[in-house]
Amino acid sequence: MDTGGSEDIDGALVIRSAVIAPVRVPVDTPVVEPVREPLNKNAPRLSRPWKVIVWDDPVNLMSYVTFVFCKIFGYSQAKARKLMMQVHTEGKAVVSSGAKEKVEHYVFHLHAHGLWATMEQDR
Amino acid sequence: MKRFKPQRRFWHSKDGVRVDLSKPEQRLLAEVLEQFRHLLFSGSDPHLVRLEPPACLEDPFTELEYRAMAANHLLQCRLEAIEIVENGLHENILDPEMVAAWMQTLNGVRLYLSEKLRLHADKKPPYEPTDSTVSATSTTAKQPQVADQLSSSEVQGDTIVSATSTTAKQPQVADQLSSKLSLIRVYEWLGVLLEELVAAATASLPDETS
Repeated sequence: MDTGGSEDIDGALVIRSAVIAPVRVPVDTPVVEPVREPLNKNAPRLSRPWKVIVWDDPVNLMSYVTFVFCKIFGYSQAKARKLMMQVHTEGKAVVSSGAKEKVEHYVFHLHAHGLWATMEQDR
Repeated sequence: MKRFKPQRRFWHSKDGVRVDLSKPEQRLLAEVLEQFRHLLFSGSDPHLVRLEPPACLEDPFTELEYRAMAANHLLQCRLEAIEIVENGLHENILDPEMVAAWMQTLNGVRLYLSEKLRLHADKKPPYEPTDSTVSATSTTAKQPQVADQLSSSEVQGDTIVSATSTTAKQPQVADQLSSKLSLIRVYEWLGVLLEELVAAATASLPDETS
């Protein structure tokens, strides 16, 4: 899966993301290392990640759902099949998570493929 | 004795997914797509609700924001996909973009037909909101109303049939049944096409992509 990254092009740092267009940042901008903090239930709502949930439905073919997971998320067939079976047997599955924009982007593509998908912020 | 061999319409090849639809199948698909495009353009058919499920059940603002951003874009995607399929109906090889368009379109029509024929009317969307705040913004919240209207009109129809002359109404009922059966056949045929296409496209996927 594309988790984003950065590379140096023409003296400027280009930050890439799955959903946001590349943004040019001057090279002399101080780089602030992200600090991982323990999960805090009282953390501000905005900082909590979002989840993509796919729900079971009686029309979409199992093979089709597996294929869509491979295409949209870049999952292996084994992982896609496992998630599809989770949707089928448990009624739903969290298939991805991340920033709101990225999750919205995935939900849109799942809807375009006819899947029942919703997004929800981590509690 | 010759063994019966079911015809495959889609199969994987090194050039892409190969397709071989018979002429009658091409004509039927073209007709179905033409009607589906008109339905999408009109946007007035309540059964289209299945193609626009809610995106965020817990936050009405996010749902409205998503709806404002996605509704037109989704419609545009579907119309473009239909166009790609129509333009490639007589092609022998489907590239990945065409495969995606074929899948989205075949599945989109199936979803619409399943809703129209109420094939799974007993199964409500599992996420169907109970909260009135969410149901006000959710598109699927309209489904029970539409289903209720349809079932009540069906019941009224039956009452009229039994209260008045049965023979006079029989041809109408027969027509409705015949039309419903035709739609069910189209739904099943599209399912077979989609299953074959997915099998062919899956064969072209790398075993481990991540």
